[in-house]
Parts: sequence; C-alpha cells; structure tokens
Amino acid sequence: MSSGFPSEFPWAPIRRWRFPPEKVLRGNIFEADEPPFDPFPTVTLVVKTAFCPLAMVHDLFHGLSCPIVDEETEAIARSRRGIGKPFHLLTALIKYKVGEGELEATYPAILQEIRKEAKSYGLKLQEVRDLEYYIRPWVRNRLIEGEIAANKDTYFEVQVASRVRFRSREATINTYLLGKIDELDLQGNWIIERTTRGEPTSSNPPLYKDYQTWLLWKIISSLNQSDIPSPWRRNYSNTRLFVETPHSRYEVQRQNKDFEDLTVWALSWIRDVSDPNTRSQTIAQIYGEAIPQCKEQMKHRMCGIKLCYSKRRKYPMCRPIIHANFRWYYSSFFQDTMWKRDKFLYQLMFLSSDELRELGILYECRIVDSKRGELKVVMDPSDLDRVRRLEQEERRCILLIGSPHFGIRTNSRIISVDDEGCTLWYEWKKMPSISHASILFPEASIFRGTPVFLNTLRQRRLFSLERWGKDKDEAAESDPTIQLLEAIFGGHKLESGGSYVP
Amino acid sequence: MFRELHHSEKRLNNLDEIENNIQQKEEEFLNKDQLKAVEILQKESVQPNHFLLPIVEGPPGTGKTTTGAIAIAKKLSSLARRGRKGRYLVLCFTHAACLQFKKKLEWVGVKKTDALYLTPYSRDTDFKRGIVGAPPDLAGLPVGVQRWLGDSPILITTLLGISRAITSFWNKRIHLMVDEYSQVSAADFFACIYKAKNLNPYQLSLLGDPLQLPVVTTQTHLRPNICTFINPHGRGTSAIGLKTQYRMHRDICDAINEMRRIFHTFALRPADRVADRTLTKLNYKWNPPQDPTLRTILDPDNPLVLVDTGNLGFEDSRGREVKFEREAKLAVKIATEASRAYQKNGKPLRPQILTPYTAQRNCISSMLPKECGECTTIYKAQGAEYPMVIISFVRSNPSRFIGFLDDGQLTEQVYVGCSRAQAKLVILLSFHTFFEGGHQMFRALERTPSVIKIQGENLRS
Repeated sequence: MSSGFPSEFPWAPIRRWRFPPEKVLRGNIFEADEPPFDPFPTVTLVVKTAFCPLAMVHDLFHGLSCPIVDEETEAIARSRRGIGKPFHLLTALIKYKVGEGELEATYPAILQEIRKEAKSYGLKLQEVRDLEYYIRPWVRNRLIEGEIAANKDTYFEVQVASRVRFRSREATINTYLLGKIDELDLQGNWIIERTTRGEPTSSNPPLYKDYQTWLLWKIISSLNQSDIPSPWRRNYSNTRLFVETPHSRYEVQRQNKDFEDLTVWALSWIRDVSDPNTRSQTIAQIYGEAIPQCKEQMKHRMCGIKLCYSKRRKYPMCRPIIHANFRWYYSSFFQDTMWKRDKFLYQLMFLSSDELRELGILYECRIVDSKRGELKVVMDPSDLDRVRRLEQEERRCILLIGSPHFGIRTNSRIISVDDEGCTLWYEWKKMPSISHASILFPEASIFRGTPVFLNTLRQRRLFSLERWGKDKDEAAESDPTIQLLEAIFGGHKLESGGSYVP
Repeated sequence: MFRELHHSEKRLNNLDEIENNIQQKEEEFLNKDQLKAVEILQKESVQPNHFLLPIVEGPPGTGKTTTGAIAIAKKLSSLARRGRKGRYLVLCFTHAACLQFKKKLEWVGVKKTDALYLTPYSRDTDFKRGIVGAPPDLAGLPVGVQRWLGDSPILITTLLGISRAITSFWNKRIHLMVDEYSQVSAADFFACIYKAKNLNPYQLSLLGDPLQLPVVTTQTHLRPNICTFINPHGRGTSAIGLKTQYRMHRDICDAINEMRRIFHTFALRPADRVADRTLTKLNYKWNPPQDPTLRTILDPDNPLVLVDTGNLGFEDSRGREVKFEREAKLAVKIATEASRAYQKNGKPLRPQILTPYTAQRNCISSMLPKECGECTTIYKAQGAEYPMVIISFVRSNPSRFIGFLDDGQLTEQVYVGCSRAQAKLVILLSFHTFFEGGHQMFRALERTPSVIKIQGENLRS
C-alpha cells in the first residue's frame, strides 16, 4: 500500500454501519451531541482514507482537504491547485457546445471559447494561464482521437448514491456511498473520471484515480432499477470505465479484488473514527502509525498534507491546554456536520418524496420554461405558499433533476415567486429533456444554523491557531495573540476592567 | 462615485465636529458605568503584568453600542490629534447588527465614509453610504477601492466575514471589538483570533449581554459563549456591568428583573426619562376600543399584560413544527385593534408580534394585515426595540410541556422577547401550561407586581 500503512483491519470484528433510526429521519428527536448513526461516506473520503487514514482525520476533524497532489504541482506551481473545478466545467461545456454544433471543432476556435468562458467565470489572468496549461493538451488529444463532441446522451457531473456491499477476503461492509461521475455516456456505455493530474508519458493512471472510478461504478451497478430515473435507466454492470488525464485515457478493470479489500479497510477506519466510543483510540492509533513514518524527508511524494511534521514553536507555552480544549471543538464540529449534512443525505435515501415534502426538505415542480442559467417552474399551491414565506437568505436551494439516487444536482436560488410558480437561477449544467425537477432545502430547521462549510472553515482556523506560535521570547512577550492565549489557557493574569463578576 | 469620494475626502477630516459631539453625548447620555467603560475600552491589551480584555456587560437598552461607538470615536480622535492613524475592526454577529453599529458611529459624528460596512453582497455596494460588498479575498474590487478600504479608520463586518476586513487591513495594526458576544461561541472567537493574529491587535474587547440568545448549535461543547468560557478559567475576571436601561417602562423592567434574578445577576434600573414611558408619552393618540377586555389590554397605563390562552384549546404539533392557530388569531386581533386605537401623526401604531416558533410566525403572518403590524421570530428580533410588542408563546397542552422554551440554554428566548418592548408588552400564553407547569422564567413573569392578567376566552368573539 502506497501510504505504508499495515493492511490488517484496525478493529475486528468490523461492526455494522449504523444508519439513522426512524425518529431521527423524521426529525422527531432533539438533535444534540453525538448522532446515533455513522457518516454518509463519499467516494472522495474513501479514496482519501485509502491513501492515508490521517488524511481522513485531517479532513473530518481539522477541515484540511489534503488532496492527493501531483509531484509537479507541488514542486513547481502550487498556484495550480484548485484549478480542477474550472477544468471540469469548461471541458464539459466545450464537449457540449461542439456536440450541439455551437462551436467549431478546431483548436483555435476551442481555445478562444475557453478564454471567453474562463473570463465569464471570473478567473484571473494567471488562473486562465494555469487552466490552459492543462486544457491545451486535453483539447489536442481529444481532437486527435476525434472525441471532443458530446452526443445527446452524454451527461456531466451526474450525482449517484446507493447502498453498496463491499466484500473483502475477511469481512463485508454494507453502507451507502455518494459520488459524482464526471462524464456518463449512455451511447458509448462508459463513464469517465477526468483529472488534471497525470504525467504525459505515464502508462498508468494517476494514483488512486482508477480506484475512484471503480467506486463510482460500484455505486451505479448496485442501484435498483426503480431508483434510476427514466432517461438514465439501464443495467450498468457492463459499463466501461476510463480515467482521462489531459494527456491520455486509461481503461480501468471492473473486477478487482484489491479494491474491495481496500474499501473495507478504509470504511472500517471511517466507522471507528466516527463512533465516539472508539474515536480517541482510533485517532491515537492512526497518529501513532503515521507520524513516525511521515517525516518531511520521507513524506509520500503525493501527499498534500503540510501539517503532519510542522515544527512546534516555543510560545504559547500553554499549547497542551489549548489542545485539550480545542480537541472537543473538532469533534463537535464534525458531529454538527453529521447532524446537518449526513442526516440530510440519509433522509434523501430513506424517505419518500411525500415524506420529504412534509418535512419541508424537497418540493417537486414542473419546468415550464428554461434558458441557460434560469428556469421557470410551477408547483403545488401549498408548496408555493411555503416557498413564498421563506426569507431572502433562506431561498438558496439545490435544483435536482432526476432522483436523489441518480441525477444532476446544481446550486440554485429562488429569484422570484409569482401566482403559479417561481423563477430559479441555477449554476448551468447540461440537463436531460425532462419536465420534472425537485427543489431541495438542506438546511430547513427551526433555528437557521450556520452552513456546513463554515464548520470546516472553523476547524481549519482552530487547528492552525493550535499549531501557530513564536520562538523568540521578546516577540512572544509583545504579541497580543500569544499573551491572550497565555492569559486564557495558561497561568497569566487576565483582567476585564470591571468589578462585576459575571 | 468612488473616484469622487476617494479624491475629495481625507479620512477623519471632521475631528472638531466629532470631539464636540463626543463631549455633548457624554454629558447628555452617558452614566457613570458607561463613562468607566469608555475609559477602559481605550486602553491597550498587553499590560506589564496582565492581559486586559475589557468585557462590557450591557443588558437590553443599557447603551452598550453607544458606549462602544463613543469609545471608538474618542480613541480615533485622540490618536489623530497626535498625528497617528488608528484602525478599528468591529465584528458583529448579524448584518443587521453591523448596520446598527454603523448608525451609532454616525450618530457620534463619524462620517458615513469613515465607518465602512463590509458585506458579502456586491449588489449592496453604496460608496456614499459607506457600504462595500466583496468576496473574502476582495477579488474583483479595483485596487483603488482596496486601498480606500485599507485606509479606513473603522471597518464593520460579521464574525464570519472577518477575512474581508483582514485582507483590507493587511499588515496594519488594529483595535478589535466584538459586539453581542452572547452569540459568539468560544470556538468562533478563537477562529477569529487566528485570522486577526497577523494584525497584532492593540486591544481586544467584548460587548454584550450573556443572557441574550445563545449560540445556535447541536453541540453542547460549542454552546458556551466566549465570556462564559473565559470566566471559569478567568481567575476572577470581572466585567463592566451597565446597570441603567434606557428602553423599557418601569413595569416591563420589573418583569425583566424578575427573570434576571433567576440568573443570579444584577437588577436593572430604568433611567428617569424612560421609567414612565407609555404609548401616550411616546406621542401616540389613544382612542379606547369599545370592548372592555380589549380596553384593559390596550390601556397605555397597563404596560404589562398577560393574556391566558389556555381556554382556547391546545396547540397543533407536527414533528418540530408547533403552532396554535387560535392564539395566532388572538394575537392578530389584538394587533389590529391596537393599530386602530393608537395613532401618531395620523399614522396607526404597528405592533410587533414575536413568537419562538417559525410555524406560528407563518400562521400569524398569513392572517395579519400589513398595516397592522409585523410578525417575526424572537431570534430575528434580537437587537431591535419596538413601542409595542405582542408575544405568542404557542405551547398549550395538558402535560404542560413547553419544549425548548424550558431548555436550560434556550430559556433566554423569553427574556429576549420581553425586553424588546419600550412601552407596552402583551404576552399570550396558556397559564395552565406555563405557570402551573412550574417553569421558572414564566413564574417570574407571573410574580411581577404590576402585571395585569386577562382571560383570553373573553375575547373569543
């Protein structure tokens, strides 16, 4: 295994994945502290855990995304990190436009279009250059292979979720898994996982990309036919799998026993870390195994984590007490995210559309007019009435075409509400020609808590503050942040200026 | 527009006006406690033998924002007189609170373009009013505007929007003030400290009321606000308590004090100018309704009225959605009658209806004519004040269960709701459920000496 971890199971026998009980799904309990269920794993999280369980701990508890990085990106152009999203958006758009005949399939015309679109996404000049670094070879290769036009049955960024069984040589884990397919071609019967990683001369796909594609295939091949909406309904067990880099395309084998083993291994770590009863031991075990191996000089060449071997500063001297306090925050933010995001995902999987509507999570509607980025929909008068009462900041939603198990999901916002329906802005994606859609409100609750992504941001800031410090005595003495931390957590004197003890 | 502003104005060019204003406001509006707070809010945090983290505890209507605004203006003008540039970063929990703080600074004499409010929405940008919308990294803002922001003496933004201010003030030392700390969890505070550490704040200070609504979260560990977190660790830290309130009539203040007693905290004293504040004293013309019960409820000389809705039936509870339609109808009726009974300059009074439940808010809003008032949740109303407040507490059931209103961390809903009223407070609740259920905060309301109790069923028709 690339990360050097032992491949035996951390806990044996592996416990069953805990799904939320009925009362949790129906919102009949007061949500507090530890959720009585395990997280809803995503393909990204499983791949990350397979690469290194410590990356998963950093992701769930410290808000660090820690991607598996390209050696070249890491060494030469760190600015190119984060260019993946525009790369995916633009490659999809180019294929769509060429397929529709809106764009000529020539190198100069496509490049010009990319610059125009990149500008409309608000990319800076340097970002456009970075993007071109990846997209130029991709366009060249696709043109040579004659595969730059999407057909009417090609879909991009299709979200899939299903209950999947992974059976290793020693154990079986049965859980839900969520993922996003970069490109699904029904005519060609293949799925493509696209990436900016990969070397021009390599004969193998980038590290773990083949695994990621295989996991996505496991999801779609495990789906019940009834859960797949009609435009996409078919048997996916024979679908071909490809990983596409800017330079080439690699086919992935569907039958792979090692991948099954790896998934059970990764899921068992996630399961043990998310259970409060085993969390501390598991994290200690992960750190214990990772840190001695991961010195800066010996670091895995594709590991993007910077903090595992960072130097400890002398000040603040109360760092152990800071850690003792902050570690509860990390877990609490993780649990809060589970209550908000993972419970929502389970609700989508377990409850019927009527039950979801009753809970104010999902509203079904009919599309009456659409143009790029804007939709006009009509809906049931009672649903419309509830939508009308939403305050401006509550009108952000998710537009779902298809079902929660298989569909195209995009960020959306209700712009206006009239007598029959409402008008929605949405982040453009190629949609199938069906007239039904759903609007999802993931944060429907009595108290409008803060969005999930802010939990990650807070975890990251707290973790960075815990690691930050100064070495020089003089600098520490005059530094207000160090002095504040020493006053709150250490033994220094803290005054608040008054005489009233709150 | 921006170019005009940028070239024509030097920052803080009205020092004389600000100083005159400060002097006048200090004499006219500030009491002894507030003056002490203003003085301490100007000191630096790193002291030779201790760290000074001023905590100003200001219960509702005690003028903590006024105190903060005057302290900022005073410090900036004294620095400017010595030829030094001061910079303040004010962090509030909500956008509404940011605008309120900005208004207060303008009231002290600080120009609109010297106290800039940073928002995430670029559509809200209005340079003349000192509002700038930008993403956290200020991307998309012209370099000139970025410099203008960095040169600003005061930036106001939300806690979660701190990145905008940090990018603007990059490499410049600041003073950092956090308003309404009851909603700032310790975790949020430390996350902000991490962002602000590069700006080496001269001073950090906290303003707020620990009894205001708590941090909203599913997690017990995230609930303590920064002040309650510091105190057990604080080795006797002591806040500056503001004890005189300038908002509520004496009777309403009595009810608030009864609740404060439960929290073992100091009592508030109504300032002379508000002690007898009734709707008629606020220049509303009183035209009594015919119905004797309504007349009693709306009488300006009865500032605090409790209406029993227990006989109207039971609440309708579906999952977490709880509403009580008959109580909602009653609230609408009282609001409608109040807008008929009171007029000021030819315009009817618009009472504010508050409720802890979103479903009840929706129910009331659908029945309430626009001209007769507005209905919001108590959460939404935090920080605001209204001449007349009607509260619908919704719960009515034989088991006397009042849901989260009895949760140790959320009982503050009652306190916050009641303390929004200036001159008249009408509370609709089931006496059987709330009083006989032995719920402390509500027993405190019942104990208030000047309270008038009415049977809601008399108003059924």
